[in-house]
Amino acid sequence: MRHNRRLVTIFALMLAAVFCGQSLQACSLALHDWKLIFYRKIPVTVPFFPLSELDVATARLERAGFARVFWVGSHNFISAVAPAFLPLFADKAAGLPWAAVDSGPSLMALARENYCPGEGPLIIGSDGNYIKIALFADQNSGFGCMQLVVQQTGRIRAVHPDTKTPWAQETNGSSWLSLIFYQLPVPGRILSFSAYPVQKNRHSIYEDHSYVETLLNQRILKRRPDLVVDPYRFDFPELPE
Amino acid sequence: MRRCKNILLLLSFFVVAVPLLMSGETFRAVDFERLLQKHPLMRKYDPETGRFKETRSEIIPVAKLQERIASISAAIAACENEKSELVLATMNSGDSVSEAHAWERIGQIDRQLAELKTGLQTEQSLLADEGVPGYDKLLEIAGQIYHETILPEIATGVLLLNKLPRFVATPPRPAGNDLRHFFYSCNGEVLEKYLSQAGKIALMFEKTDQPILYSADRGVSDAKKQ
Repeated sequence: MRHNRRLVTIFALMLAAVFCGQSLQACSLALHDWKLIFYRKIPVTVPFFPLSELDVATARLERAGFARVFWVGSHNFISAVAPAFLPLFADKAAGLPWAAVDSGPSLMALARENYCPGEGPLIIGSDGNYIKIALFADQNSGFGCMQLVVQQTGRIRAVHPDTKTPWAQETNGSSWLSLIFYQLPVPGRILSFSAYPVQKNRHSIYEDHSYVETLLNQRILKRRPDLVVDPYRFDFPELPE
Repeated sequence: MRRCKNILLLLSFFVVAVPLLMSGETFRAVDFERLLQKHPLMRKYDPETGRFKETRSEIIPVAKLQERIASISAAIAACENEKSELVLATMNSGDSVSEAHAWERIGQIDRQLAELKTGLQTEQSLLADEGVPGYDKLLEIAGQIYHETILPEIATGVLLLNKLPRFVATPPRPAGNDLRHFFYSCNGEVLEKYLSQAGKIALMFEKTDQPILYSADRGVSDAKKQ
């Protein structure tokens, strides 16, 4: 429980940085060879922030209209207030009212209650959730450059009790935050901070290009060869199950 | 004068040949064209298009692609329809057992839908390129042939000194995205290194389009049987 509280605090701080950070174009000048040095997988009742759920809702909204979203799960304080921050995202469904609903009746039962003409709600449930925390060190920089990844995974079930075409979907959700820093995760040593999925893509929230250039010029980081590597593939290696 | 020239020619022959004979090192020409023609995939090679028939590199007629897209779209619609009916039936039943079964089936349909949508995307992107698959598909096959013909020849420490294409063929028709792929994947350093040595290769051999093997071990060769 105490461990979970710490996690919640870390997540809340990282989330605060998401909202405070300036949005920049994604870019990476360095070539990393990430080695996993720390990994922990922790079961949680509900994701702290519904990024994957937002992605599912937006995909559905592009095909059929609904007026609001019920996010069903065993909510904690963070997840209960998280929907209030959704309007800060540009995803289509972020602009709709989201309500954190505690698990009780099944998703289909909730859908039945809301099955009526007009734009009903989209009901999204999250279960089988895990928080994965991983720390990678870059072999190309003599293990000085590091990447901290906080990933949320889980099963997402969604039901839309649309009177024309009732719809349901089951998918595996995955969302993450990534912080790349040199030696210490403190201001002035941070290379980049990014989140996924934001409008279905990896979104770079903060990047310190001048600091990266300094480290490249000092040969601490290895420069990415433009022609050899696709510049759009610079995420972390897949985390273990 | 003429005698002197003959002696010099004889000497130059000994300067080159004797150290090679003493050390057992040898240069050999190898007929890769014959090896390539023996490969089963070469029977599918279409010199007119520069691609391989019945493989992913083959150019697909636009009409056939449109037909495939229509068929996948219909399968997607059928899946969505089945799911829709299932959701309605489950909502109406209110039974937890049938609900569990319904979710199981929904999961199966969703996995099927994901596959169909990926397939649809591939076909649509191929249609956007007028049915011409990218060079990457062609390179997959060329790579396989290379691994199965040329690599065994050079796997035992033999150096392949020149591997420029030997026979003339129609250049394959490029797909729309090929130029972008080239700039992202081509290793510029290797190309530059090769070009810097191209002059020396030309000086060493009269025909630079003839593959030459250099080997310290005389025991390895299919080329000897030529």
